[in-house]
Amino acid sequence: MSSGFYLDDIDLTKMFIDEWTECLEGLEKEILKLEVHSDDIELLNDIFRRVHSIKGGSSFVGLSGITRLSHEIEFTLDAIRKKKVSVNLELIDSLLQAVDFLNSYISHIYNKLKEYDSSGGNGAIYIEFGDEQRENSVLEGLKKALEKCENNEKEDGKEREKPGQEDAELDVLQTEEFKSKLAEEMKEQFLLESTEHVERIENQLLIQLENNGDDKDAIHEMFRSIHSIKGGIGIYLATIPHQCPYYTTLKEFSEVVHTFESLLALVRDKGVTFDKKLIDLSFEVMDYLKISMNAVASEECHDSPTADILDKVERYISNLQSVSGNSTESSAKPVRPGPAKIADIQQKSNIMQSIRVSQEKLDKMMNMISELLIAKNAFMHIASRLNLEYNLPEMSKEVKEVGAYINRISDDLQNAIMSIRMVEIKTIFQRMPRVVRDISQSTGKKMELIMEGEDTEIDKTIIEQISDPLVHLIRNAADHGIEAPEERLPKGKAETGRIVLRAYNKNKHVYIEIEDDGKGIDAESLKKKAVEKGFITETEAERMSRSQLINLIFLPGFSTAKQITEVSGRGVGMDIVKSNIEKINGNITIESAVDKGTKMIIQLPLTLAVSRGLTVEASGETYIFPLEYIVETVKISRNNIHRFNEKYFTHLRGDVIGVEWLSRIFLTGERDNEKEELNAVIISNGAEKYAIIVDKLKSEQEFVVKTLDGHLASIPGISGSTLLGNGRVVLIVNPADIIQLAQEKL
Amino acid sequence: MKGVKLMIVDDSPAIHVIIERAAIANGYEVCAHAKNGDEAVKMYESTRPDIITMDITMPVKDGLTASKEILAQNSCAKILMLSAMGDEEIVKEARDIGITHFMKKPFKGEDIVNAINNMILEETGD
Repeated sequence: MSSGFYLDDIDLTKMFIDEWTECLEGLEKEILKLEVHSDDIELLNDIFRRVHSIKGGSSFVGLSGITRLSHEIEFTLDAIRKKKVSVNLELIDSLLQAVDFLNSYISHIYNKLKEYDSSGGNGAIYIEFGDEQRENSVLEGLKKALEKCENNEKEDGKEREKPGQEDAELDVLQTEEFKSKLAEEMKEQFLLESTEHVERIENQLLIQLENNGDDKDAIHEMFRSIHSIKGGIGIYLATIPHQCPYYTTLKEFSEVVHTFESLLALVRDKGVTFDKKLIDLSFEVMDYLKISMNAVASEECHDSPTADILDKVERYISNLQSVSGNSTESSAKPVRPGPAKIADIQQKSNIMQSIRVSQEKLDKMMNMISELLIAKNAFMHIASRLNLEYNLPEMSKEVKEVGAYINRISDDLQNAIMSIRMVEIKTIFQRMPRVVRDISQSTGKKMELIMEGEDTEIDKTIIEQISDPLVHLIRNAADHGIEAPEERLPKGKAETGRIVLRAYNKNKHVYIEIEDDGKGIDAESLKKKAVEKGFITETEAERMSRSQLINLIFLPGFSTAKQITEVSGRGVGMDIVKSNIEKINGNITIESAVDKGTKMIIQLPLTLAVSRGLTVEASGETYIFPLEYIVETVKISRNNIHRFNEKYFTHLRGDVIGVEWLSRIFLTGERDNEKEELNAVIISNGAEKYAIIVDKLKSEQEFVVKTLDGHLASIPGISGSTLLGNGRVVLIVNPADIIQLAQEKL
Repeated sequence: MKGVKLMIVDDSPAIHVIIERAAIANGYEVCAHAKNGDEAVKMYESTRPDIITMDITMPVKDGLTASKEILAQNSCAKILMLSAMGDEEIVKEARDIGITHFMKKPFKGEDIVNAINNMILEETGD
């Protein structure tokens, strides 16, 4: 318990003291009245309110002694009010003592302030009030008196046992629970908001400022964002206990934010140009903030380079201050943004007309919709059985009608839920300018990133999955694709390289393209390298088409970078990119021309939850082919299938494509020799096509992927299972695997 | 552009000062000062503030009762309730009548401003 403290807001304290004096006046009289009118609830409430006011006010100016004392008095009054204790003389006495002490405490501060005023003091004042002994004895007396009253009650035979203490425990529990819940909410809110602000600064404002260091609006925006983060952390800090493991991290975080804010205020008020050094520093600060936020999110505390960052920012501030000492008058301008803040709020509010819903809830909903879909299919199945098996065409028609109605509702519902899950692709595109900038910095290459179709929408889960592959591809384009200026100029290209990141919708798919105008992929050197590394034999290499050669870069362990750079490439890149994209039913293809550039095209489904597929039959088994891999279905005449070296192939409109039987691939049967016309599903993995022969093409339908677990999970050629309307389980074919299996088949 | 109108309801003049200082620095307008719940209810209809900061413990009429009456006048009224240590039960009750914004004493001026900003953002999301 400290006996002294600093008061810094003198005027406010004076106002509070005036209020308290008013509150205390008459308090004594009222307490005396209590002796006779202990059940006068009006009276009790009034006394309670007065003490409560003092408590509330004292906490504002940091007079913790007063807060403590008034809290104890309030506690006692509350016990009386709730009829937990009956008032006796001793209790009233100790209450009066406590109020007396409170009175003397307050008048002591009052006198101190008066003294201070007359001495013409300025700034903070140190107040000493050392009568701890008396304070303790007063508090002790209050407690004892209260306890005695409770004991009396117990002896009186009332049924409540130790009501006061029980209540005290309950009170504490409530407070703790309340606090921790509050802290949890605060943390979530703080992290969410701060992340949004940091991302905005990093991905938008700093990039703007890099192009134009005098962009006043951007500096203002940045200041506001930082200011908001500061506010957020202030609230959050107030809700968590000091012994919290990440309290120091937060405290440091807050300090850095504050210092950085001061720097920005200086920059803004002095009209300093945002130069490269300042931008680099800002990026460093943002990185620091992100590290700290991660630490808080994961509730770990680790050493972040706070001192280092603080030092850098502070040095910058002192530089600024010394440089423009001549323009002191401008630094006297008010720091607060003033009315502009409201404009900001209102502008923001136009954009953010939304509520936040946890992903979990949406996933659950989506799952339910998927089940509905299966049930809906069952309806249609019953309808056809009623007609065919039970010969009830009328009934069948009715059921079908109801089925169609449910179908329509579930379709609408599914679309509505899907649209909720849709997120603008902007959220990941935003990260890319920073990626390109970093590479441009470290390699000295000049390049610009052009983004198109940022408002294209795509399922949230897909967004999460595509983010890392996309960063990787952008890095590749910037690091390996774009050449250094001295290489570009002789080729007749502009000094500055161009990377275009583009997203658009086509045929129920979302496409993302990454196009650069760099050196392109040299198919010949790829071929040489692949042979060297033993991925393919020389004869194989000679037989490969250009697009097949380019697709070699997706092989695990295949890196084309002559030099492994810090930024990208240890040869673990492209194969992982490809497999990550395939995991979400996507597809990646490459188009490239030497010295012209490279274009990566990623095809993604709109959503993962529901897919469309073609059901087929082979050797009595039913399978589903996902529609996105199917190019077309054709009938191939037996005469048109040729055999060479145990491989089958056919001509299809001028192309030569491989042919294989699905039953042969899954080892469930041999090719049949009877039919003249064969049903073929032409599938493609982006680079090559293959004709897969099946016995029957059945129907196109929606299906919900149910993943296979355990030992079933790794069957080659199968990606999962689904339920049909008739309740049968069918396997979903993985076309990319199928092509590979077909090629290996001898 | 319309400024945000604020009504401060508190029996402590010092709290009025703390909130008003922060509000004005941020370009808000304090359109009404009420020193108890009764005044607040009476002033609400004529001033129609966008945001009300509401103390809980006040003479004549407490914050909870006043909030109930204001919400009965206008169910969309935005109330920021200022609670102190020991007010947990009242906060619970307040949540039950639909008040969702609370600020624990002691707070700083900027805390209030941040809370008000959040409330305005939410409001326009309706």
